[in-house]
Amino acid sequence: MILHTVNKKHDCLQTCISVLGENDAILLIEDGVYATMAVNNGIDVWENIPASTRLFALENDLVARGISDKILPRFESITLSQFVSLTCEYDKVISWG
Amino acid sequence: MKFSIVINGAPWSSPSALSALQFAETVLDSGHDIYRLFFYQDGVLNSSCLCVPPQDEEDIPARWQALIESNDIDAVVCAASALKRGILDKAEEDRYDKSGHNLRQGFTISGLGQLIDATQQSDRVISFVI
Repeated sequence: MILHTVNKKHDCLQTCISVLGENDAILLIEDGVYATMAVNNGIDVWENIPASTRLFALENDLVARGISDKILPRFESITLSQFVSLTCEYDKVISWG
Repeated sequence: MKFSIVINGAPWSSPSALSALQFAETVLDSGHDIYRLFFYQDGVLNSSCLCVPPQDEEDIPARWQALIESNDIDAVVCAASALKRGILDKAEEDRYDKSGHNLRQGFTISGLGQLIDATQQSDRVISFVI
């Protein structure tokens, strides 16, 4: 069970997705939160990710970029305090950037 | 839980340093402990006492110092990363015959071994990359 944090929306996100384990989760932070919007460059990066994979985005970073009301429904917007809780809940954290 | 946090980003160059700072503050607010902060690569620039940000911007290095001193946290600055970026304490100033030093109060210059130790001693190591 690994929590993957991703802070950009392009290459590092694709690499992260390519190695995602069954019980892993993704948390988008910083500019990574732009990937919560439906389609990026005509590609839906979330298309092939199982519905059981939990997807999170950091609320502060969504608000700072004015996109908190534009995120895909399968994303859960979380606070910093929930971010800390997630790092405890998962065995390891990998930071992609 | 015991956390260590690795800070790779310079203040203001990317959101990374502020993300790490906010995370560290929230770790303590949530009742957990911080075993060590490890400032690495451009992250060492958070430990300069000579940064003068505009008044309407966050003083990120000052906020780190406040967090470190009020919670008695071990804050290690990687020596190899620091020296080449012009972050020196008094000992390094003397050793390299430089005209001043700028390491902020509360920070300590040390080596990568402290990062290895942090990974062994902490329950979680969280890196904030650029």
